[in-house]
Amino acid sequence: MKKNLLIPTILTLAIIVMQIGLPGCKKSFLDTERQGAYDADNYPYPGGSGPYDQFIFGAYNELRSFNVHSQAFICATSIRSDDADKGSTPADGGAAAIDMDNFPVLPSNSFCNTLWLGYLGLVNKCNVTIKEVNTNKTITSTDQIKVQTIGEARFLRGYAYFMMVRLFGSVPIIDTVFENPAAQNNLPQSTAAQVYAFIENDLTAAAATLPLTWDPSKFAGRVTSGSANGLLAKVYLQQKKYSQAMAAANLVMTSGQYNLNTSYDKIFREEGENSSESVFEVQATASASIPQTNGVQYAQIQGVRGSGIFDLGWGWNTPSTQLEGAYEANDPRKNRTIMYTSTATTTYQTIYSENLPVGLPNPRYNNKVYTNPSLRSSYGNRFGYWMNLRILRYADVVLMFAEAANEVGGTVNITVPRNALNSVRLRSRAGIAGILPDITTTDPAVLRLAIRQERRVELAMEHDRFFDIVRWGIAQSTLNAAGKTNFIDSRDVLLPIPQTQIDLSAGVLKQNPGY
Amino acid sequence: MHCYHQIYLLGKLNVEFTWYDRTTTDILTGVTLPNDSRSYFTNLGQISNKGIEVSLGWNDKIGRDFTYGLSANFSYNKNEVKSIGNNFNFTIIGNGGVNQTTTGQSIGYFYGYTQTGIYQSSSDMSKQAAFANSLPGDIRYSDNNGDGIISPADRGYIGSPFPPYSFGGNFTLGYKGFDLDVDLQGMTGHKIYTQRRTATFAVLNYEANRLNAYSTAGTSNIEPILDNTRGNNFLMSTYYLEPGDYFRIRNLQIGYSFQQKLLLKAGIKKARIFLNGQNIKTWSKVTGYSPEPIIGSILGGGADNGSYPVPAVYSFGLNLTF
Repeated sequence: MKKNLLIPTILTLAIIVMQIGLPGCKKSFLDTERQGAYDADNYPYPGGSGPYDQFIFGAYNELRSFNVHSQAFICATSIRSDDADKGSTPADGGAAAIDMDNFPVLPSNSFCNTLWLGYLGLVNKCNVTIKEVNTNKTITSTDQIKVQTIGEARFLRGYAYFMMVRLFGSVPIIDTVFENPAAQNNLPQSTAAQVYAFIENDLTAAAATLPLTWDPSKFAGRVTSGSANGLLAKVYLQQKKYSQAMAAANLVMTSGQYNLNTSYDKIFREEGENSSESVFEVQATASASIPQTNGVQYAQIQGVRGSGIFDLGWGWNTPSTQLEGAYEANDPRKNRTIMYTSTATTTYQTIYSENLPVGLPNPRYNNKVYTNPSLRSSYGNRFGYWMNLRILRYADVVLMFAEAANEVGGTVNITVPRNALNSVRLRSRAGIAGILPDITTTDPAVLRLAIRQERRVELAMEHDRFFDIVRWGIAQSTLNAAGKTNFIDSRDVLLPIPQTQIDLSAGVLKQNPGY
Repeated sequence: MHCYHQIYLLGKLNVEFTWYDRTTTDILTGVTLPNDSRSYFTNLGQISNKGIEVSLGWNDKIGRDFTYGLSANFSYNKNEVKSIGNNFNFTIIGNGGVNQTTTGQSIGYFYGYTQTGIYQSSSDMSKQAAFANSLPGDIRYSDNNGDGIISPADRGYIGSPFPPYSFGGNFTLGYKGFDLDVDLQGMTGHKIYTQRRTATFAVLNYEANRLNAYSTAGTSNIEPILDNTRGNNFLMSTYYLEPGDYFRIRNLQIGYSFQQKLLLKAGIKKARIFLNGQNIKTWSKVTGYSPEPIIGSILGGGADNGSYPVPAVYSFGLNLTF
């Protein structure tokens, strides 16, 4: 035993000798550069594209995070609506997910805290970018790049707060990076009206400073003035500011950057990413060696819950029978939105002509996230992390314009909204005669319903339906009729403020009404 | 402050007594901030630990061949947060709010509801405080603030993941060439949060406790209904806490040393064979794999989310010295 003690002594001596030797080196061996990835200190500018890339790309990257655009997002924006069911097996996800479908959502629901932290995480990355542009003296840059970078950050921050205010109502506004987070982070809520004013400020500034377009070969999907005006139209529409919504949408429509020429079928394929339809889209990429890390866990959560080559995901967020019944006769968009599981008597095919299996846990799946099987095999991965998330499409902008114009214009100007509506229907016909006839009404009340109907089927499973029925004031009647009988407007139009955040805040945050 | 006494008596009795009162300041720890998913490292106020440690030992011989020794130890520790620093204007939580740290309490204590039973029927429920969406078969919680309804305001301290009491013992025997050594150890007073049971993604493969779940009135007043859509039953409460008390045979060794006379002929100076068992028996009511306190994070400890079991190790050995 005694002999063994010598070994540690020798080791200790060796370490002391090594440490004495170290001052000769330029760098401590603890201070090595991280291998295989860049960080904020060594991001390769000027080899990159801009002096603030490490910050603003960090903010864009948050759009792909699990807390922002994944399971909780799908639950809160789609499964809560009448167009989608939770899907998967009945018990999968437990109370947290089932309550998103059936209401009420409890303050302890983990998805609420996920969303809260996700969007405020995105806000933080935007605030960091703005702070660096304004204060970092070691980065040299033109004023134009500075203004543009702040514009991008303010767009993303405006988007994050637009999600927050629609999900939670009154939320704390964080517009700075705190020096002492422990003392400063615990902010009280601002009213929803104050949050909307903050969002309008950010998006208006972004619209004024962002470029009309980026070099698509280098910067596909970077936000533009069109993205900002399109989102602004939605922000105005949500507040029933119809003339402003109409004006903002019109700026997108007259920008010359977008059109309805991309076929409805192609928009949702990988080859349709960043098409002339795309106004704001979350960028996801993949390769055979990195099939998931640079993507978003979005298609996977909704992917076909089968086995073998049809094990494409969890099978959540399945189109409801109410959505199925909402389409006009022979509308091609129905089968592009709803994928049917084969039955004993009928074999259904995917858009790539594969036969769908029988006996899957769900009769329908979201066809808009169905990935190309040849990409699956080239990436050696079935889970579609590379599928971009279409946040704002041109048809959405056109329909927002139609809706706002109809509310503004009254009988006199009915042709303006009607033409916009019919332009979307024209594309939807895909050249097939006898379907989806032009709307010819001259009654704004009839047109209003027609626009709402068009919005529902055109944008089905694209995360707007719940917010739409809330702003139209028909959430309770619609959801109760769809079998969600627990839903009451006085409580369920907003999610509860997460109990974890209320606990953390030591009473600073107040719970939403009814919870 | 630290006080230590040791008494020897005739080289046979050994008594040690330690009393301590230690205040630690500025513990560096990661805290959960409001409105932020990142852990923020900062110095956390003042923590006091007070306690006693007592140990008693007796070693003696009977005749020429028989030796024995007995020892026992006991310790008590009281942990209290004196202050949490004046730059905190929010509550310190751990593990998503399951643990809280507030002044005047043990650090990282469990925070939640107290179960008082199960709502047996609608009429039973109508007579008691309940959540707006409670249903028969749900856990009935204590209406701590007496306002007639169950709400987050009814939560409070429900236990600590840190054991205040620990104890142990050692017993040795020697008779001629034989020797025996037994180590015993235990802890009591702490709680374990069975977080693994809050997983809701499957309705198969429950733990055995769920065999007794409520199905109709009168079937159980402890185990709620088997229904993972009842979110109220997954809230942090005493239902998910179990006493962490345990007592364990930490080590047991039996050996025999051969007589030197016989060995020298074979050129061996010493030879001993032994049989050793570690963790061979644990007495505990804990349902997870290990009853020991699971403290990954000091502010959010005590959760058994599928802990790795402590292995029982048996070994047999032969020591030869040439």
